Formats: sequence, structure tokens, C-alpha cells
Amino acid sequence: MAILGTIRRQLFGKQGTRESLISLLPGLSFMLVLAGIAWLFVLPMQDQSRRTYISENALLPGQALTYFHGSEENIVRAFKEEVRMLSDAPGEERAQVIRQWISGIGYKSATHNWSISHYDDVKAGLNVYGVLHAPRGDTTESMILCAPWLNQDGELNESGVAIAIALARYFTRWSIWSKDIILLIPSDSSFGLSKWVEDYHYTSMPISSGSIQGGIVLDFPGQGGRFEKLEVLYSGLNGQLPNLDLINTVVLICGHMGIKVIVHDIDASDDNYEHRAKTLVTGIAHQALSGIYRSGAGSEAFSGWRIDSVTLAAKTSRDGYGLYDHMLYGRLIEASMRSINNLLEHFHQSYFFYLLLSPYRFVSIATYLPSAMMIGASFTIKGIYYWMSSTSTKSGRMFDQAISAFGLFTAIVFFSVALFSLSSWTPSSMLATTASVISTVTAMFPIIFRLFISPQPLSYINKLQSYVLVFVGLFLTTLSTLNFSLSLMLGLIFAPLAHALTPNVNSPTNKLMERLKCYLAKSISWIAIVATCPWLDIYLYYALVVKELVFPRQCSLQAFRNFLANTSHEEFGEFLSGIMWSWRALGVWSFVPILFVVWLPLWLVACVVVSVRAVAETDRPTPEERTVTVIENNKVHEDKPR
Amino acid sequence: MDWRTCAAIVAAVILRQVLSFLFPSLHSILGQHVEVTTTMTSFKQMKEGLHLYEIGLSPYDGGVYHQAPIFLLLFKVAGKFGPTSPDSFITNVLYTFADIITAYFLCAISKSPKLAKTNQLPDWVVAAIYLFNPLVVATNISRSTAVLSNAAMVGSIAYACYNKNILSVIFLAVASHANFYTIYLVPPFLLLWTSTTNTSTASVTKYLFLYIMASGGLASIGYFMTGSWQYLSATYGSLLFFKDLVPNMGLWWYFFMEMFAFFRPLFTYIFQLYSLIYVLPITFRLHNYPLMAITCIVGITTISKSYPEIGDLGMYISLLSLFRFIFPNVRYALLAALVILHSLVLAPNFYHLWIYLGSGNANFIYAITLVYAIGMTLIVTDTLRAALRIEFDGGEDPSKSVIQI
Repeated sequence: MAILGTIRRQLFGKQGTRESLISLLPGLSFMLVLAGIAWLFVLPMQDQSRRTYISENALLPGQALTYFHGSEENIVRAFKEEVRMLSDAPGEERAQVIRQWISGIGYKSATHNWSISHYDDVKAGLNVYGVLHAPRGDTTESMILCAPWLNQDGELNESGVAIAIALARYFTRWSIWSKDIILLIPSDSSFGLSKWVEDYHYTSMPISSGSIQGGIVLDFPGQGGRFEKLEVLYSGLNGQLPNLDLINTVVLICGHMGIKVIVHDIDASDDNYEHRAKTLVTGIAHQALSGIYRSGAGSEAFSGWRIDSVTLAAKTSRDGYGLYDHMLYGRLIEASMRSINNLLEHFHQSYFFYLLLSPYRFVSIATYLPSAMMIGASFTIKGIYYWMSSTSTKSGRMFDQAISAFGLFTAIVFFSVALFSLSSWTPSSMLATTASVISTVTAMFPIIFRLFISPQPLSYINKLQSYVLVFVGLFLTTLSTLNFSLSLMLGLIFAPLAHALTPNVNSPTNKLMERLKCYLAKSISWIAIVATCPWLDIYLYYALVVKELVFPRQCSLQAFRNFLANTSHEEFGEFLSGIMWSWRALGVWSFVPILFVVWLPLWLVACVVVSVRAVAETDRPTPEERTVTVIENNKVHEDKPR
Repeated sequence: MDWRTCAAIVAAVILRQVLSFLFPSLHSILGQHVEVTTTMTSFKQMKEGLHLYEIGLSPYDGGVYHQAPIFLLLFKVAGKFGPTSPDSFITNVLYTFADIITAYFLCAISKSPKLAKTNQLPDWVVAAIYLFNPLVVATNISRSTAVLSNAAMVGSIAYACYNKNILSVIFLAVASHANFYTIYLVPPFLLLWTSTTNTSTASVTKYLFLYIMASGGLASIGYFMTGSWQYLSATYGSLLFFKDLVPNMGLWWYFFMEMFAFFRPLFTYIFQLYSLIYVLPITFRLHNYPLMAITCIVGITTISKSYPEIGDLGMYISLLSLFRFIFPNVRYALLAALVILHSLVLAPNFYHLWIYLGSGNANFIYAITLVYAIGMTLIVTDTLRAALRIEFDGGEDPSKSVIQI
């Protein structure tokens, strides 16, 4: 014990241990943020990632010969011609024709009518699907072969649909299937598909099959039938990912067939740090924003249902020319389906939590998780710091202050939740107006707080901050196990609110330097407040990402003017309603609810901190408080010798 | 009761009704959460048992129903007044009443002559800590039958505090009949019952005898209801031998899931012994503070029992709120609170990852139950240390007001 005391004295001098430790916390917290960011950039280094490998032996990717060639090409071409003729047909007619094809090739077929509505905003469509009962199975398991009529860019998925139907026809000739094959042609790759998956599990469909073990979504627009490279799209909703074995299987088969494969639209032919880092960062962005605004690639509709699926998108070069032809694409699908068919149990062997650095390299959760965890923990630590530093002050009213600060925090959270329900009840057409009203009102809050909330003791402000920071820290650490990328992204956005805020205290001295410092700190706080305002950030996202006003490339006044000229109120409303639809119809809780339940309260508390005048406490303790002081004095002398 | 306590109770009633009215599915959602209810307290399984009983079959056949026969009796009587679904009027009244009466009992204990008159939390705070504890509210909404057995347990403490020992004995018998682990409270209760008289062997024997008689009476009610003693093995047997291997917040399930079958008896004995072994030492060590001893044993069994649930933690926190004088000596409150908070948020999350999304596995939630146990251990050891510190200081609390437990 004596040696511990010596060490303590050596480390902290005469200052008490408690105070010294508390004073270390803000630095530690800030270092954790930096460490979290640094950790992320260590990941793409050569030795930090691993090569992918097939973990489930049953898959046997690329082991069987594929026979989808020769005269099958005539059938593909014929179906392609038919699909092209249907391109302008109304949905009903199209569905009936496709259904006839599917019945014609020997599948049980049905149509699935779906519609989702929110007041007068209705989305509807007609999906067609068919089931081939497995010759060697018992209808308890199935796999999906899916080709959305329209792909994620809204293009007609011409070759994709044709190849899917031709493949399905070709599959009937094999007796090797041990899982049912579900051929699915949804009306689009986003709402239509996800509605089908939902109804497949929740309602009784006219024809049905067993639990779906895996799925391949075909995305091959255009009629040329040539492609240059294959993109594997795998991000699911809410941070879900398919089992890594499925991606590996596809990539390995591509390797056997000599197809060039890419992920996240980044051509990483030479495996270097820059490419790996780019893929990593893009992958994180895709995972975090998956399902929001941009309609999905298709495979994400299966996430959350224990169905592992990938979208295989054939990328053509600009002039429509490519090295590979559609039959090779078909053989790739054939081989992938054979691998899924080989599964003896559900995909489980390989990773569910991973980040790809290239099609052939990945980092697993144990390696990357510390990054988001450190950033999440930095909030908790800062919260602990505010709590400890506000309770160590000798002047009392501890309990009352803690309760009243908690009351204010709860009120802010309830206010945000009320706004959340307001915006989910708003009709889509009114959304842009509602958003501008809400954002104007919330932007007024700093001023309102300043005018109408009387000066508060500093420890009160600190307590308020400690509640919200512990809340956010808890939320981010929890989120990082569900959706690492989102947790990381939000952590980085929120970080200024934990570290750059200074309470609005009058500068105590008249020294010029001190005052300058004070003003600097205040202006940094205000910059942080503006930069992390949720509404502003949404608008920035809209301008920079959706409208592609990427500054480095088009940093000119002209580009900005074009942006303003091209952006109408309605268009922005559509963007907002797209975000709301992703929450309403796809169940993407990772944006709208989080925005209102976490981001907005955090931001409002930050506004309170910056705008409400804080006073250092000097008032004399009341009799009650004297007791508390006695208690604390006693605590200090607790370690009396026995 | 002052108006503040009344207001707290009214607010608590309104909260429960509003939750029940706005989110009718909450009953079944929480009722299926393994953190909130276990197979020993699940309302759904109680209903199945009740149904079997009402159509004249033995509810204990088939291994579905593991709860005490007294619940069958209670809900059979309640069924006379209306349907007993989780959201029906009569169930709502019963559970809300159980919570209110528990809060009332807690306030009564707080004011009782066996605790200090000075330096207690105000009544309404004690009531509010119980009634608005999210853990307690969730347990109530889930219609876990632990709400009812906890009410009986707190009732027996309250009656003992006011020297109504016979009533206390009966309540304790009911509580331990409904929730086996309450039997561990008998030794400190013997101290409590005999604290006014001279603790003689005769009076201890008398109360022990009374308790055994009351328990025997309740047990025979079960016998007459079902016509056989089979229910003993279905209820206490499956609890003691951990027959229903379902994940929960406790430390048991993962071990028993992983180990070879032939080790099961050995580890069953060891685990049960572990939860029992603290009872007598704590009773002897805290013989001057029987209420503190009861609270400590409740805390320890919450960690070590075979089917724990978060409502037990809520109950334990409420019991702790009766001992304001130890608060200044508590050192790790912030740490323990954060650990418990994180584990309570992560537990349903990891369960979801494992069971629904299939991307996690059993190790995730097991790790979190370990963290939860660490948090609980922190609270138990910290409060125990604080109580012993006060004993060391000669029964004086740091703010110099006299404690006479």
C-alpha cells in the first residue's frame, strides 16, 4: 500500500488523486477520438487485413462444370427480345405475360400485388414469381433467383430479366437441386422487392416454399449483352451484411471464369494502400447510408430476414462494349446457385461483421470495432468528466440540480420525439414546408434560450451535458455492434459537440490575451453548433451527394448557381419524402429515428450550453447543503487509521 | 401518506394505463423478452397452465408450466370477474394494485421504528424510486408474476417492521411459495421477528415452526388443487435443477448449455450452493441490521439465482433506497450505474443479433450477462462495505445523525 501511495505522490504531486484523475479525463476523451480515426487508417495497411477464404467447406464454389452456353444463348436472346417488347407495356399486362413465361417453363407461378400508401402518396406495383420444387428436397428450404424489372438506377433490367428466366428454364433440366428455386421478377428493386419479402414471411402467398437460404439478384441493364466488369453489391439495411462466404463464393467463381470483379465501384486492380483505403471509406459510407434516398440494389431487401444475398451488377463500358458476354454472366449465376444449393445448413460459418478492402481482402470485427468503440467511449468519458467535475464542487444543491437538469434533458428528448411523430404524420407533399418550418424554429432556439432562460450555475450546465453525453456514448457503443459504419460516422459528426463547446461564462479578467482566448473559444463553440446542426447537414448531404455538387471538382460560382437554379422546392421535398419512405416502408431505423431521438436532443443541449449564460457558483450554502458539505468532508478523511 | 406520495402513486397508475393504452402490443413484446420474464414468471405460460387447469388436466404435465399453484388459484378467482388476458381490465387492476401496494409497503418500511427516523428519503421519493423505475415498469407491463411475489415479500418485511409477526410469517410463506429463492430470507427474518423480544431459542423455534406450518399449508393447497405432489418437481424441481434451458440475464444458462450432460448434477449443486452459501454469513455479520441483511441477500440471489430477471434488480434498488444513511459511503455508484446501464441496453440488442438477425451468437449475450453480473456485484459489495463502515463507526452515519436499526 505504501508503494502505491508513493507512486501516487510521484504522479500527481500534492493534488488529490481524484482531482488529478478527473482533470485527465477531457484529454483522454479527446485522444480517444483521434485514436479512433487513426485506427481506421491503420486498417488498410498490408498486414492489418486478411485475405478472404471460403470457410464453409460445403459450398465447393466453382467445382462443378457449368453448361449454360451453346444453344441456350438463343433462348436468352429470344427472351431479351420479348422483354424489350414489354418495356412500354402497362404493369398488369407485363405481369401476365411474364407469368405465362414462368408457367411455360414448368414453374408454379403467381403474381403479387403490392401497394404502400401514406395519405395520397401511393406506391404500387405487381411482382411476378415462380417456384420450382426441388427434385431432391422437401420444400423446407429455398433459394432466390431475382431480377428486378427496373434496376437501382431505374433502368430496364433487360438482360438481367432475360438471363434469369432463361436460367430458370435451364435449371428445370437438372435433378441436382436440393433446395426449391424461387424465380422472382419484382416491379422494382426497392419497395416492390422488400414488400414481397415481407409478405412472403408474414402473409400466406398463393404459392410458397420453405425458408430462403440465400439469394442472387441480377442487375444487367441494356441489350448489348456485353460487360466489362462485375460489381458485387452487398450492403444490407441497418448495417446488416450477408455472410462473407457468399461474397467469397461469387468472387472465387469470378476468378475461375476470369471475370474482373469490383466492390463499391472502385477498380482496385493493383492492391495498394490508396485503393484499399478508398474501398474501405466508400464501403463505410454505403453501409451507413444504405436504403436512404437512393433506391437499393435489391439484395438489401433480404437483410433482416436471415437471408444472405448479393446483387451482381454487370458494368458495361461507355460504348457498350465489354470483354465478357451475357452467357458468361449466366454461367456465373449458375455456379453461384449450385454453391448455395450445396449448403447443408444456413450460412453461418464465416463472418457476418466485416469490412471489405478489395474483393479479396477484409478486416473482421475484432480488428475494426475498436475504432467506433473508442469514439463512442470518448463521449461516455467526457460525460463522466462533466458529472464528476460538477459534483465535486462544494456548494450544494447537488440533488436538486441533478434532478432538474435531468428534467430539462427529458423535456428536450420528448420535444424531439414529438417532432419525430409530427414529421412522420406529415403528408409527403407537405414535407418540404414542414422541414423548413421545423428547421427555422429549431434554428431560433439558441436565441430563445439566451433570452428566456435565466443564468444557470455552471454545475447545472455540466450536469445537463453529462446526461446527454452519457446517453450518446451509450447509444453509439450499442449502435456500433449493429451498424459499425453509422456509429463511426455519427460519432465523428457529434465529436465537436463533446469537445469544442465552452459554456457561456463571462470572461473574468480584463487582460487582452484572456479575453481573446475567451472569444476564440466562444466562436469555436458557435462554429461547432452550426456545423453539427442536423438540418444544415441534411441539406449539405442533398447538395453535395445527391445533386453531386462536389466542391473539389466543380468549385466555381457557376456550378453553385446551376445548383440553385436546378433545385426546386418540390425536388427537395421529394428527397425528404424518399428518406421518410425508407423509414416507413423499408424499416431503415438507422436514419430518421436516430436523427430525431439522438442527434436533435444532443444538438439542442449543445445550444443550451452555448447560449444560456452560466455563472460560477458563489452563493452561500443553505443549512441542508451544509450537511452535504459535512458528508463530503467526512468522505475526504475517510481513510482514517484503524 | 402525504399528498406527494399520493401524487406519485396516481402518476404511476396513469403511466401504466397510458403505456398499456398507447402501446397495447407492449405486453406481449415485453412478455417475450428473456431479460424481463423467465419461464418461472412468464404470464403467457401462466395462462397455459391456467387453461389446462380449468379444463381439468394437470397443468404440470408436459413441462410447460413451472409456477406455483397459488397463481392458478389467484387467476382462477380473478377470472370470475372478467377475462385475464395481459391487457384486460382485471389483470391491469391486479398488477397496478400490486405495484401500488409494494410502494406503500416500502414507504411504511421507510418510516418504521426499525429504521432510523431521521435522514430517510421522503416517502414520495421512496415510492417514486420503485414506481418509476423503468425495470419495475417493464416487469409490470410484461405481467411477470414476479411482481406479485415481490409484493408479498415486501409486505412481509413491512409487517415485521411493525411487529405484526404472524402476518409477516404468512406473507413470507406466500412469497417463498411463489418465488423459491425468498426462502433464503428466513434467517434474517428470524432476527427481525425476534428483535423486540430477547432472541431466545424458544422464540426462534416458534417462528420457524410457524413459517414451516404456513409453507406446509400453502404446499398442501397445491396438493389439493392438482391432486398430486407432482407439482413440486415441476415448480421447485425445475428451478433447482435448472431444467428449462432458456437464455436469461443470469449466469447459469450458458454453462449448462455448453457442458457435457454428465457434469450437470455436479454443477447444479455447485451453482445452487453458491447462491445459498452467503445467507448465513451475511445474517451473522449483519445481525444488528437485519433489514440490510435482507437487502444484501436479495441482491446476491439476484446475481446467482437460476432464473433471474431485471425486475429483481428493480426490487433490489428499491430496497436499497431505504438506507439513505449509507449513500455517502457508497463509492462506485457512478461506475456501477454505467455498467448496469450499458449491459441493460446491450443485452436486448445482442439477443436480437443472435436470435432474430442470426449474425451474432450466444457468446454475445453471455458476455453481456457477465457484465451485468459485474455491475450487480459492484453494487452489492459497495453497499455492503458502506453498511459495515457505518457499523465500524458505531452505528453513526457520517452526517452525525443516530441510526438505530
